[in-house]
Amino acid sequence: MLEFFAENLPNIIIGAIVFGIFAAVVIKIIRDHKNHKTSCSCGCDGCPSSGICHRD
Amino acid sequence: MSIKIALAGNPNSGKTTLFNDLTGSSQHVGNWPGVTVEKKEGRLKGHNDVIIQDLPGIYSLSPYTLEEVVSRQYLVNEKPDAIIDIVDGTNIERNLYLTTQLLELGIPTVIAVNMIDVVRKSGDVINIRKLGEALGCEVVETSALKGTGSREAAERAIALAKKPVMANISVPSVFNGSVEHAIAHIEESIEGKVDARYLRWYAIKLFERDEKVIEELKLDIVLMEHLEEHIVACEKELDDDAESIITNQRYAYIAKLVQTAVKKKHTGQKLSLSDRIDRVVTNRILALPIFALVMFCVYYISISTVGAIVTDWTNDTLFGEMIVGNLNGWFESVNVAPWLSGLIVNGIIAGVGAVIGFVPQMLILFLMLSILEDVGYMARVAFIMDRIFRRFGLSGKSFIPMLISSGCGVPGVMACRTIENERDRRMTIMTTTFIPCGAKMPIIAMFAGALFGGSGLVATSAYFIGVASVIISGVILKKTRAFAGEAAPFVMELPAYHVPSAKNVFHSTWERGWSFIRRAGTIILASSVILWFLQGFGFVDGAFQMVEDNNNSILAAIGNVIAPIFTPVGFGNWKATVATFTGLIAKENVVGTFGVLYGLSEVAEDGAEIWSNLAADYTPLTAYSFMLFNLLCAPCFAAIGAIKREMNNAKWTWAAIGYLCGYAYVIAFIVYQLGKLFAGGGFGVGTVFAIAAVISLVYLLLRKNRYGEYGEYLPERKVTANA
Repeated sequence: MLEFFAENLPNIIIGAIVFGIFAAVVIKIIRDHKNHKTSCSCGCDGCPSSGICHRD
Repeated sequence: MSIKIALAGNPNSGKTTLFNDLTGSSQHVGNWPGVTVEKKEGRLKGHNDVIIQDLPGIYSLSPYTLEEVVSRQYLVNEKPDAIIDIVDGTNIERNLYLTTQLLELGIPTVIAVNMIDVVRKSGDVINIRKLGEALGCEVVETSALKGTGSREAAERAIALAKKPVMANISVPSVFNGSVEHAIAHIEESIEGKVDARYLRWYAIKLFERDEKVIEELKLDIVLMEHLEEHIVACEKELDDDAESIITNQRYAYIAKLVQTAVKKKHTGQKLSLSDRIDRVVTNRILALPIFALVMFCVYYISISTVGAIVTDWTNDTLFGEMIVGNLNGWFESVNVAPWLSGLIVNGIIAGVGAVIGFVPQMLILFLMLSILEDVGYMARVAFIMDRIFRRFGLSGKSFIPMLISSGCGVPGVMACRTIENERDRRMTIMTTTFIPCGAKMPIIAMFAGALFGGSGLVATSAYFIGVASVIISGVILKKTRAFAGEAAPFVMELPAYHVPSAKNVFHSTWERGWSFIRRAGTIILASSVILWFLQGFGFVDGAFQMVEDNNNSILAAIGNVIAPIFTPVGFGNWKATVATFTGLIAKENVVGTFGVLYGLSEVAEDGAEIWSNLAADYTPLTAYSFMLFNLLCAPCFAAIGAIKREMNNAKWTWAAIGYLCGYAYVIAFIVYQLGKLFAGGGFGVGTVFAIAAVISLVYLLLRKNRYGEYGEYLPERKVTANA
């Protein structure tokens, strides 16, 4: 078991980082969707109509 | 208890610039009227208890346009503690019309005479003391663009808001004679029925027979008849209708006021610099060629010259050599499994890197569009387009959402709500996403670079095909029952040209660029990981495993089922099909998908051109057809969501998506089939259908309009100007 970890340590660490980032991104997308945040590239913070999409 | 201060004023008088200055916000500022379509809130810097409310620009407090309704509802119903009325000092007569109405609301008001630097430069003098005395309120000089005076205006508004409410009320004597007499009678009659502060305003609105106010107050019929007697007596005496009487007396009052408080250097017919420029750029003959030339330069510089150099460096050197090269070497040294290094290099970096690679080109494009917007040229474009649109029965009002759509389709679709005519609004919602948004730019830049030698013409053609598609669709749809009718009138004030503000320009550019980068790091990254998995795994000899050739992958199997639909338009391969569909998530995902599917990084390692694998799979004709289809078809899900919200009807939403996809398919089909014929590809069944499609399109464009103004069928209708 320990041998397996020792041999695959780089794979485990890099894999965990990659999947951690992927999971964080997916969670953010789902959370944004639930908060009615669109994925538009207009820069919603500065959009004069942002209140229409981002109702609190 | 917080203090609410409303920023009110005419369109394009600088409210949002002042708002940003006071609150430190970064609201989009545009040098054309109608940028703010709904109110926006922020807290005054250094005063957490002071809320500043940016209202849409309005010319009056009538309830006719959406902006007026939003502003009026806020001022009357939400009852702010003070108003900062932003008056454009270069156009003071017209701006004071709203000022007189705001003062009648009885809310403590500070007048901010904005653009005072321009007023001084032109040699005019505004005596703010006299102005303040006559209007009975405080007046300060401001230059929102230069950040002067805005703080003083806010401090004075806070001081006024802290005083007892009735202590601040001083309404100027705008009306006289029988009008004032009638209004005074109305005030007496409704006293106690409305908030004492708003008494004067309600009385004037009742005199004008404002339907919304009559509906709101629900006065009994006897009282209404009594008030009507006073109004009718006035109308008889002055031989005019009540609304016009009020308007005329307001203007007479303002004229007198301006005479005493404003000294103009040039009172004659001398043309200003803006007028002289407009004589050329809005010239009946020269306007369109100048616009075409300007847009060509914008796209040429951003796609072919400066932008291309920076993008090539980002793609080839930064991603290709530095990131991928070093990462591959490091992965080998630490013995990372091939599938994991493949996921990172060929999946994430290829997908995200492909999109990020186009950021320099996008930033330069947005920088130039922001400059054009801030200088005031884009407002002229709306005016120029109105002249063209009107000829085809469309309104120039439809061009404002299209201007916004060149940044992003979502606010573009939303801006359609300022179009009062429902048929025109629906039609604009359906067509506004034809204009290539920022997210479509990488698709254009990718094909322009990979197959057209970075030609600026390809990019410019994408913009003008978008505009032409709006016109073609407008002409076709206007002849159908659902959209028939006269074009709504379009009145827009052209702002004076000014040197662009570096702050506004860089802020607008960065805002768009940053959100693009942010999206690459979220939705594009997630899509790239999923795509990498789907294109890297499949069934070989009945077993599910990693595949050497992505043509054997799950993604290829799915794509190959749908791909034949696109064979007649020239790109019936699974990779293009998949990219078209992933483009619905976000349009830049088309490029990210190609990055994953064509192994962007592997090519870069060899030192070859980054998109040469892609170029090998396409001819210029199929590439152009693919580009056209993806530019004109249904927009991304975010924009489709905006269409759904604005249409507020599932049938119309599906009709819009269906129309966009159908139109894109027909145009791409015609271009591909006829292009193939002219390129010596021979005459085939496809050519026959393409010619039939052209004939049908010409028929739809030229056929007589058989519907009247309200969509009624007129079989014997004589052809009029609208036909």
